[in-house]
Amino acid sequence: MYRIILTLSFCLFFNCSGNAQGETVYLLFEDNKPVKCHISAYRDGRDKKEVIKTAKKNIFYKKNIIFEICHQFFVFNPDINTKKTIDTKPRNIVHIDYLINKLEEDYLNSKEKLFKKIYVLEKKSDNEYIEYEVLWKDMYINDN
Amino acid sequence: MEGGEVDWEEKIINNLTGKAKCIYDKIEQFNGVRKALNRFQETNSPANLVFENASLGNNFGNTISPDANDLITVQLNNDSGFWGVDYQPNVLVAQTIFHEIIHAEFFRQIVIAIGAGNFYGATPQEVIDAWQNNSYPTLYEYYRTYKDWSHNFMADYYRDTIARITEEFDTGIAVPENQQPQQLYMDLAWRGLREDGLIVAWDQLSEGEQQAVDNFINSYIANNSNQLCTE
Repeated sequence: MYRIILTLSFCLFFNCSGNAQGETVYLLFEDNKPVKCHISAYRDGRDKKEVIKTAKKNIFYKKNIIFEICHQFFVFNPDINTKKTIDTKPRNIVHIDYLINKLEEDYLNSKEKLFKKIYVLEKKSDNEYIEYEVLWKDMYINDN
Repeated sequence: MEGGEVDWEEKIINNLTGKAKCIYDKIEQFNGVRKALNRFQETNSPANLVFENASLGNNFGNTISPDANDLITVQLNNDSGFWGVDYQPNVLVAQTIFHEIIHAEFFRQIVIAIGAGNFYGATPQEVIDAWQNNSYPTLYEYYRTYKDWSHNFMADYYRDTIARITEEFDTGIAVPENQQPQQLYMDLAWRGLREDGLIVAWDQLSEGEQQAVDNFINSYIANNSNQLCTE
């Protein structure tokens, strides 16, 4: 009994469900660099294909930055999101596939609500990055 | 409405200027476009539509999903250079406007199906729950199934319509309903729908077919850039 309570308490505290809502993740970004990723046309992730897509950085309204990685859109709005320069890479850097997989596991949820925080790290030099706090958004853009 | 041109009861607010406005004014009289816009103008339509120029980086256009007041915004890129309206051929600007109107029409259908004010901030689960057993079952299936439901639905059901509008814009002659648009307009209709791995209809083309469409669109842009639009 004690062991069950201990396990339950541990899970409540450390989020054993696999739900990433408490998680903060970092994505590396280099403008115009090809990124290999695995994508599916379907919400549930079936029939995945390996593709190579070019990472893109776009400026909307002369202020918002849209980071596009494997056709996922991460929006930095300078009016509400933070940005700073850092000189050491954080530990929890993930590949875009990690976010896509999490979304597919929980595809009826909003992508905005899947992670506690998402940061994009734009590489400036070998030991300098700009860290942007971003929101993961659905966008209906025409770029191809 | 400040600075904008308003159609009937402020359901459609046209804030476009310059070449974008000139081309919009021409295509809005076409039967297919008029039908789509009239649906917004119906007094019982809960969704409103705004057209505007915006600085959009390396994108031709953008449709912003319904806000808390079910306002849908269609934006055309007014940056200078390749991606902007001024550089792009008139026919492709017309095609982009219609492409974005179709996105807006899909959102309007969802707003009707799930009720005014219910789209903004809703999770896909909440949209699906509100929508099931309601109108527009095919669009519902696409929303439920595909990540990029809007472009997949457009690629499967609206390429022919997009090609008809662009052919009518280019030639001045409406394509009879019992005829197919010319192949060049069918090729141009792929613009905005060529996303590997995400648009199933595009993935179903062979590599050679995709390359032929890409080459045609690229050469069409190169040969028809910087066109002016005259009233």
